[in-house]
Amino acid sequence: MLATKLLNHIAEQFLDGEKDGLEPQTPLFELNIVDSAAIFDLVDYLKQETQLNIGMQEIHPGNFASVDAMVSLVERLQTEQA
Amino acid sequence: MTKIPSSARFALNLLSHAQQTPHKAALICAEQQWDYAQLAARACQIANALCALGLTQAPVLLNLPKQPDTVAAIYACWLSGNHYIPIDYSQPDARVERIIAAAKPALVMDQDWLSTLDSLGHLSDYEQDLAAYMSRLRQHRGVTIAAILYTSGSTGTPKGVQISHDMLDFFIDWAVQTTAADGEDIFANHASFAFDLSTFDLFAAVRTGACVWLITEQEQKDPLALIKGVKKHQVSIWYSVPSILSMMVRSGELNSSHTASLKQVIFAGEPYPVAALQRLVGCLSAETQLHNWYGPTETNVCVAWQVDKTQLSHLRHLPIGKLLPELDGWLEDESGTRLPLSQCLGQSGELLIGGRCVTPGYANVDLPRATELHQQHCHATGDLVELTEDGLVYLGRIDDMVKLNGYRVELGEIESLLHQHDAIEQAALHLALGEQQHKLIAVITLKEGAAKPSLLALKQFLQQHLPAYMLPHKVVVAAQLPHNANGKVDRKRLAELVL
Repeated sequence: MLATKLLNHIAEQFLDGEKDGLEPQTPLFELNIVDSAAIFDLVDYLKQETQLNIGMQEIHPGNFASVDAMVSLVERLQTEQA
Repeated sequence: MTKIPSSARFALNLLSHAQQTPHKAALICAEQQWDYAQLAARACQIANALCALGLTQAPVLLNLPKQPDTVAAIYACWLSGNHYIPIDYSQPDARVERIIAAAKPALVMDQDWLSTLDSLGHLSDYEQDLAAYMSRLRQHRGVTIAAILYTSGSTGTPKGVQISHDMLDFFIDWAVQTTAADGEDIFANHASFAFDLSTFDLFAAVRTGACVWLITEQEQKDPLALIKGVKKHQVSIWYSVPSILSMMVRSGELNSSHTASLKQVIFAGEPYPVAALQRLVGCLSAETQLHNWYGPTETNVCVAWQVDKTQLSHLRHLPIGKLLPELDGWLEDESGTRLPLSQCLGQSGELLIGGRCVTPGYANVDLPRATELHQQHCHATGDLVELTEDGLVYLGRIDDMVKLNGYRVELGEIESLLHQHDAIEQAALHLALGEQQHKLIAVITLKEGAAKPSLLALKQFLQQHLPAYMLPHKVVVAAQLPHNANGKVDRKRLAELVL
């Protein structure tokens, strides 16, 4: 499951490995878990996990605001690039 | 009758008490107790030696521990028209040597020097000395400097802040009035003599003829020794940095059966987190008054707030309060625009202080902006404050203000909120400078039995009060926070804990 993988990745990279309390809806920017610079780390991770091409136009905070938002982005891109 | 020069006043206070109440206790230290006659006799003996050496208006460095002899040496400096340079005896030798190198004292007085003095063995006629110094002091002319305090803990050359007799006189007159101190009081002297806090205990006591309990270097950080001492010596006026009081609270042994004698508890030197202060209040009698005093060494105390206990639960930051009477204050913004405090309600900026409390200058360094201001009896504190309805509130150092992604971040603001978390005893923020990105790291100590809150949980807690960019990126639990020799949290040493 992509959502679970993303939660693990975010906990590992940005929360000292502590996954407790991190939910698919947890707002990542409002809690300063990721900031605009860290979006690129997430982009790389998503590319590697999904083999999708993520264009620059998709790289804006709205698409990375939560794990749910990233899962939606991936689902949409999979449909478009199918 | 001619006006007594301010340079003579404290020494004259000592001699008068020695004449009028010779057997009243002046100093308590470990198992020793000295009365005013003993203190004055020893001070005169040492002063005679300084005079014999031909020293006048010279810096005398006291490389001595906290003990009655050291207090006598301070008065000896003044009786002989010289000034003292105290050092913190608990410092490593290397730092003492650096201070000696910077201070270039005319004499280094240490234990060996005192032993040699004693071995010479000729005791002078104390009564005669007393009378001679009484008249000699009134003729002191041109003596302005009382002490030079070398700031420790900073990198580079220590700065020697000259403390004038007039500064001390101004401060002590105000402090004695504010605390309603009198000859029956017992002052606790916690701070090192090298720290400006010590000037209150030592010199308010000699002004009023009261007694001072000198807390030795060995007792300074031992909460149980401090608590026992408060009760044993019936301390009525306590003055220290907040961390020491918090440490006493944390020991679990501080309660009203030990603290019943405390009339005044005064703290200064760093912000006291409101939640931590509330825990202290719970350990004190309802009658004890609390005061938050503020001022860098260059001004000593210049702003003060008497704690209103009923207000504490509503406060986010403890105010430092209002300017002392007769002083002037300004806020200066980043563009250098300076406004008098009377026009600053709701504004923040660097606090500038003017008046009798301000140092005549640094003894060994020339910092253009500071020197120019000092010549005008004005000091730029480097502290960012805000003027609120409750008085001035300290926000942080202007040079501790960090920028993260272009945002200004006050580390103190984050710390004060962390202190309100149920699991956290103490907290300090460290900024780890990265090539691409800086990281805010919260170093915390936990309350006894509390579980470590997760980073996410802390972020969620702080999110209620702070913008996202101020939320820490990492939390590190430490057994204790590093403190400098004065008991303040040493932010510079936090880096060692987060590696």
